[in-house]
Amino acid sequence: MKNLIVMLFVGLMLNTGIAFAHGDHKMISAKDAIQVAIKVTQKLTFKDLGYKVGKLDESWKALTTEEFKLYAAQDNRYKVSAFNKDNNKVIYFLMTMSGELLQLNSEAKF
Amino acid sequence: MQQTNTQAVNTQEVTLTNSKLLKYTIFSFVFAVITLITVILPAEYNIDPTGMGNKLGLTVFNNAQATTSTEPSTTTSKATTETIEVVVPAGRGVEYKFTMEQYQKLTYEWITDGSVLYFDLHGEPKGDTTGYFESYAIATSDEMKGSFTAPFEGSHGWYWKNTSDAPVKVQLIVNGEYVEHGLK
Repeated sequence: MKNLIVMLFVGLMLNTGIAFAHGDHKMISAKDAIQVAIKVTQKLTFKDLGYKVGKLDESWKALTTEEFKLYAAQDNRYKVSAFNKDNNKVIYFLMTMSGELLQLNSEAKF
Repeated sequence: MQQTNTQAVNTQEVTLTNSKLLKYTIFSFVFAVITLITVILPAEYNIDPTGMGNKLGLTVFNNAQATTSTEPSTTTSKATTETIEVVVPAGRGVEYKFTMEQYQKLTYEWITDGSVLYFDLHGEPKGDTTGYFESYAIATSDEMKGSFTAPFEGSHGWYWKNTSDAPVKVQLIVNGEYVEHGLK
């Protein structure tokens, strides 16, 4: 009997936790992942943030949303590509499903 | 006295039969389902099959969002990402503000090209002549990321102060709803 009550209580507490804390609060959509990549690209035209690509030149400022593509979404990671038609270069962003940027390079090898 | 209490406890344990426990469990489950349908689903996900959420005013936030997103042309608000660069001269302060209506939201990120800046993110009510302003964040940093909802109609934005001997450039990336923006 006691075990049953404890199990019910624990079960209710777990469910309440999800209701109050929003279980999927930190997950972002593929569209949001592209927005993260756009913002990071803008920041990289302003300052070297320590990624392999260094500081990007001014031509990257003019990239439109259409030039950012979801390259892959697997293993709890988003991979987004950005194509700069001015210099024919592509950079790739690896980020978590919560939008934290992990790596950025021009080889798509993570 | 203590003996009497022990007897009372024993009596309670005896009267809590499995059938009653099952009855209470079913009652709790039914209550939880009713709460889910009438309160949680309307408030959290704007799913209101019974109409109770609307009557209780729980769908107000979802409806407000829907109104904003479906009527962008009726206001001069923008919903695109904008990148702005501001130079804060050495030893001086600069104010960059967004004219916003009440409850409009702005998401922002800013970084400097080097030095840290003292800043005060604040809002001033429209038409106010008393000099009143409300600060949302005050700190000294070389970057910041966040969002705010304008608590009143007026101008909202940053006062950056550069205490160094060289000019500092700020890159501000914003996304949200506002009427106009610029140096003040």
